[in-house]
Amino acid sequence: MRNNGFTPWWESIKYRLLIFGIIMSIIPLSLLGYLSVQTARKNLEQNIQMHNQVTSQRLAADLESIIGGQIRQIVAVARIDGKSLLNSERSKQEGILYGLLREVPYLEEVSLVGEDGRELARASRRRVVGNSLLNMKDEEAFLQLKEGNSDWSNTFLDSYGQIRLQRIIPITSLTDGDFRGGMILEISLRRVIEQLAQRQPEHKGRLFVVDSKGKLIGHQDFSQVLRQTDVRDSLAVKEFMQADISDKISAVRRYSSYDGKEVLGGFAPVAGLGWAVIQEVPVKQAFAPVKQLENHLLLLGTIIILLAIAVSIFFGIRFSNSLRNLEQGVQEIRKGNLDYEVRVQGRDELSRLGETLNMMRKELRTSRQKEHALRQAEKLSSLGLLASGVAHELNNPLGVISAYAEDLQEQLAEGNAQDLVIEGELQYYLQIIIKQSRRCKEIIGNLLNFARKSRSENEKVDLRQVVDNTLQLVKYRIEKKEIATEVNIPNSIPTLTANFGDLQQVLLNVITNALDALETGGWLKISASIEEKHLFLKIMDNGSGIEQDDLNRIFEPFFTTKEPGRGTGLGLSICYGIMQKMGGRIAVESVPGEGTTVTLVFPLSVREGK
Amino acid sequence: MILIVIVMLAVFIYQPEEIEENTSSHLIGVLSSNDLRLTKLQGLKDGLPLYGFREGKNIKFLVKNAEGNREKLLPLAKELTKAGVEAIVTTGRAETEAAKEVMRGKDIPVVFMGLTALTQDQLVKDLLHPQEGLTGVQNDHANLSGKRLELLTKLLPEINKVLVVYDPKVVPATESLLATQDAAEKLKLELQKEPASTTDEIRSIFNRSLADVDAVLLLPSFFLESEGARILVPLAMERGVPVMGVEQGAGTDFFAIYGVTTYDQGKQAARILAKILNGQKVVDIPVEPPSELKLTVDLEVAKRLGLKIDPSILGYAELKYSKAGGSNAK
Repeated sequence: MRNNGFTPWWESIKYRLLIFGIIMSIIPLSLLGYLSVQTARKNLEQNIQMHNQVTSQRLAADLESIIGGQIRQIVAVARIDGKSLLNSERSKQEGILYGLLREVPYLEEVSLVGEDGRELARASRRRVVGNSLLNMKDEEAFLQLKEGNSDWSNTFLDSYGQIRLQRIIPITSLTDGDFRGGMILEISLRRVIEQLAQRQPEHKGRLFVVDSKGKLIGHQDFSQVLRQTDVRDSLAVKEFMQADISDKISAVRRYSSYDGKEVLGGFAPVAGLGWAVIQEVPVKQAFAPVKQLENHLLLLGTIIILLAIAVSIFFGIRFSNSLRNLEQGVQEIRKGNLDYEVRVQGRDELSRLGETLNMMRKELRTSRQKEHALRQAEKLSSLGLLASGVAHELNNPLGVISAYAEDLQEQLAEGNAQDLVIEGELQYYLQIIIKQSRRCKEIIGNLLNFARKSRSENEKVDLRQVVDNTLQLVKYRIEKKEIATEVNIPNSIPTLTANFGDLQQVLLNVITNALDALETGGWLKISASIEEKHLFLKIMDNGSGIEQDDLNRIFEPFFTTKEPGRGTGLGLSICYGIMQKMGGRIAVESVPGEGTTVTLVFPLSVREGK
Repeated sequence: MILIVIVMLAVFIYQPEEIEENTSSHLIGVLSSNDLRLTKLQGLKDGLPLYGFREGKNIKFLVKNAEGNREKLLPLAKELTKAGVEAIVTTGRAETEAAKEVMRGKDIPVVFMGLTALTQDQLVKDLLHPQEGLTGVQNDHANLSGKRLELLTKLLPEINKVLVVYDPKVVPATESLLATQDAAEKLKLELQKEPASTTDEIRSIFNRSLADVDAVLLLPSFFLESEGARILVPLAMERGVPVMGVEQGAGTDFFAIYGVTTYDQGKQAARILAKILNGQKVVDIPVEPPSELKLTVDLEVAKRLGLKIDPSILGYAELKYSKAGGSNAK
């Protein structure tokens, strides 16, 4: 605690607890959050890469399966029933071809061509065929058929805005292997891609197919195909176009795609077609779960920090309140307020400390009460010793009063009352009686003042008055022993703020001891001075003095050199306690056979003006 | 203590949300001429979850139905703009034209779920880069008119003369007629072309002699596929003549229909709407051609009319066995 009572906020336990709570919540949370997000991001990227690789391979296989699977069935039919199909009526041929259109949804048109190149029948979803069958003997497709090739053509865009490609299927005799004709299939890649996309509805990215030259031939977003978007800037397409790795699965990479978007993507080649399936997931979309995790962590972190602040504030206030209560209690006890009760809440260590402080205060109060009682007993003991002196002191004025009263009574009995009044003797007699009565009253008042229980409050005390009153109490003994007294208290000596009764008790004890040590005709000197911010009050006598061994023990309780019945042995011990309580001290110097000097030292901090 | 309680409550109440791509809610206006076309809306709703949009969760639809009255389309489109919709989805040409009219000068995209002959009246001039704030799915109904005629002759090889009913007031009429005529020439068929924009005109056609007509082919038209079909088909059926339509009409007994289904048109449009909701501009979203074409043949109608169907072509068709008040397809 600073002397001026001001504590900077950063030194306050309340704020330190608050800062501690915030730091201990933010730092671990931030570290954990950062590590979690980084780990999640890394794992997610790996998962996406793995998933994309697996999915790309599966999609490539699916694409090959969708196109190749049903085509293989048609090839099988053509091989087994091709000859009978070629020899059937046109209506039957058309029925079979239209049946193929129904069964194979991505077939746009199917033509049946005879061995001479004439088109025998055609089924088309959009075009009207009628009787306008073609002679294809000079066309590339028929020439390929005759060669026995069973291959895919390049893709092309038809008048309906659809990407198509042709597949020729030769029909040969099962017996001699001679060419008998063939089938020309026109396939719509749009339907294929739609079907492919439907097989992975959970896919969040984009899916497209390029041919060996990197040309876009299918896209999940059909608009891209209609506009013939150039996708060759995509890294996956570039890698695919490099012939040496076109048969491998690409690693999933992070790159800028054809539309400038940053993606995680890769390709898988489609077996037998020379195409590749490209799968790309925009990074923003791929890492959306991580972003969401970040947002959730941020929100939860904020909540936890608020919670930590709230808890820190709560415990900080509670803790600092307990400390403030303890501090207040200690301050009050220090001031001497032993009735102050430290408030105790809860059962924690600070509460137990408060309870201990309260117990200590009670014990201190009991001790003070005992001490007080002891002092009072010592005081009463002193009174007992003073009693004979006081009685003698009272006897003189009372004797004077009695004598003058009796004399006055006789003169009044003689009947000269009028003369007494006229001559002023009556007034003289009464004045003496009054004076002596006041003297008695003063002696008794002084005694009562000393005898009463001292109050705990301090007051302004005139040192000279204390000395005079005390000497008054032992006046009889001084006179009886014919002790010469000398009091030298300069006018410059200030008043003291002290307890009058306590101060008188100390003086009486010291003076009584001096009188006990003095022989008849001795002297007693009392003087006061100020040195170095302290007030020194010296009581000197030329009595018997104190032996060195006894001098070392004179402040011990119950130590006395006096004969039984002349003292309790507590006098100087109590004086010592009183001087301590006043912040002063008592010192005794003595030379056996020469006399003793008792010095009472008062701190001038207790002075208060003149 | 209050702070602690608040924090504890926050921790208790806080539950991490599941990852959801599209979390903001979108309000989409839907403009339709009639209930029949709302089948497309169902396809749209079924298709949107594939792109992360679920009705009631992150997308809501404000449907305005003219209930057969075309005059109401424009005011209904205005109501949609006032309601603050993010985009308008239309179910046909009349609806798209109404939406385009009210969208003029506003930045509200329009997605159509199945239109034909788009470039003929320059509703959309450049299908790859639509500049008009419109994009969507074209159903090729006009172009496919010739293919419908061919499939009709494949199903019924004995027919020689076909009555072609068209609505001269609709834009696709010209393109449809041209496609039909080209096909007829290839198929060596005789056509009798009759315009009809009202029910009276339809009745007038059938009041005349139709003895030599073997079948009726309807060309794409809002009127013909709905109100007109309800008059025309029963009249044709009375005369034992099968009718080939474009899309399945409510309460109509078409012998056959061919094209992309209304449901599929809506489902295909879901991808386009999703792109717009994800921030793509209309000009970057080409108009898409239809994906899947289906031939549906009602064998019950054929049976009632005693038609001789070439079974070979049935392998390509979805077969339907319609009953009074219901239907069954396989």
